[in-house]
Amino acid sequence: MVPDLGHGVGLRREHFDRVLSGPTRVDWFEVISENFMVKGGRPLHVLERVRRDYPLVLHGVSLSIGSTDPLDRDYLDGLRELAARIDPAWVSDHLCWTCIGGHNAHDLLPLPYTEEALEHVVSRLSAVQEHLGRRIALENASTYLSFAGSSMPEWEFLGEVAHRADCGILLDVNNVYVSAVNHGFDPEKYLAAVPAERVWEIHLAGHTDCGSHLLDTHSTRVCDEVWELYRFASRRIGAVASLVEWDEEIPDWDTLETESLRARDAQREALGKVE
Amino acid sequence: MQRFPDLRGVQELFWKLITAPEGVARGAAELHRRAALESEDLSFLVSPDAALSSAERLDIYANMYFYRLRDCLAEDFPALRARLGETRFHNLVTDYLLAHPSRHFSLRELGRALPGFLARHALEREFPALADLARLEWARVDVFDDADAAPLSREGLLGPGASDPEGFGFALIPAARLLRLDASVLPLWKRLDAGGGAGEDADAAGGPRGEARAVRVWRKGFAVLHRSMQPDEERCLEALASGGASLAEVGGLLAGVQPSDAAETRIAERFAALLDLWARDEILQWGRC
Repeated sequence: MVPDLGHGVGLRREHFDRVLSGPTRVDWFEVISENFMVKGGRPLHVLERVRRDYPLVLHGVSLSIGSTDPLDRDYLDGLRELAARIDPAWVSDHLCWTCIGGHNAHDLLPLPYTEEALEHVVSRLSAVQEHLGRRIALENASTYLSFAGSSMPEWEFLGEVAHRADCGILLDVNNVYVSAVNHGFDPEKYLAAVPAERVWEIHLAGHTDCGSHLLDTHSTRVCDEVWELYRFASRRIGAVASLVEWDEEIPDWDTLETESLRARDAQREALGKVE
Repeated sequence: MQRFPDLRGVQELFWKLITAPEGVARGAAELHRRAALESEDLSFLVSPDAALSSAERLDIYANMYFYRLRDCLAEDFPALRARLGETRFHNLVTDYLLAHPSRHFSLRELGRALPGFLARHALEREFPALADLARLEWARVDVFDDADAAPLSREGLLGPGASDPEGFGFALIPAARLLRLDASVLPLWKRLDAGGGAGEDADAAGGPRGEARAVRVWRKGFAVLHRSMQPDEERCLEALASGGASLAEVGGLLAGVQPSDAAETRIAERFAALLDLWARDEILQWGRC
């Protein structure tokens, strides 16, 4: 059973000074694991200072769980070392692949939803969880294409991965919305199919409308449609840790904090809780 | 129609297409020309729809790949980017990524080979000392999050070190790099660093292009700094960087690089001045002996 951490934000360096300067109104922080898999300097110092006052979650982008390259043992060792140092509430990454042939794309690339890919991801995930000595959560990534060879919808693939590998799900509601628009499916159908008991965390973020498609840019406020989906997900899943991500055109702290408080209010409203 | 590949095949083809320098459609055409694809039509791989073709959907990933890495390099090499301007920098990144696709899980490592790549690039002839400018910027990136240390104060240096000058060893802190750069680089970097934080290079008067200058880059607390060095300081710090040295050994090295007619008092004054400087810059730690 993972704890409900409340409402948090992604900690970015633009806000280091503000967060260190005194109390905030957010409950917890999430950081990009790779940014802190370093030897020393200010990032690690800040992380340890923040950890004294808040729960932290390590959220990675380079696990490459779906890659057909061998698992990167150096990466896993570094992640395990960081987790031992920080004692995060949990560790997460994405349901995607990022490297092939020894080359890193540094992007969350999509998987074909096939039985072959499913077995591959489950097998690697089991090895990763054993190496790290902990279960992890996988996030649904935004996608911009559908593979012609896919044989099942994304929500079925995600649910099967979580079930077979016994891992958690980091449900990114904005990503569900972005992919739903890009591929023309019903986002509520997706959310209704996700195994609620496996959802450890929900992500919220803004995206950019490029005309022909939506792009998951994390560069703006959460849009109304995503807030509505968040309420839908909250009613179905209950109170789980929720987080606002903002990675481009990062606003001042007050704006980000206000967005997190809005998420808290939206979840309370959805769950019928009145202050 | 070509069959949908297995997972390995999907990923290898995907990579080739999104890293094709002239875009996915041309990349597919080239693969077809080389008989690696049965057709330029990518619908066997990616489903097209009313909004976008298969190649256009893959192009979304191709653009994200390139621009994410370009932005990362722009952040790590701001002076280089300013020196070249947007178009040349963009083209340099294109060349660089083709020659040095990322092989590390962290974007932090992406620019490590760029200074060496630049040294052999045509731009180096057009913009002399460009590779040295990149070396300076990479050293600054590299020390930013290098291992922490407990730097020695002047008291720390002179206390036990002076009472037993041959027994106590010192070493350069891990977050320090010693470079030899074209004399034009420090003033150029300072001019290009429009955002302030120009480092402690106020003593860098510059010099004629082609003349090498010793430079040290280091982290003091959380601040990344750099400054030029006289040859005698460079000689001492090289010894301290390669395994450490005792105070007596450093003094001996210093005496060895002074003019043969230099008075002992002059050498002692210089030694004291360097110890003061190193303590103020927090660049030494205990080590060796």
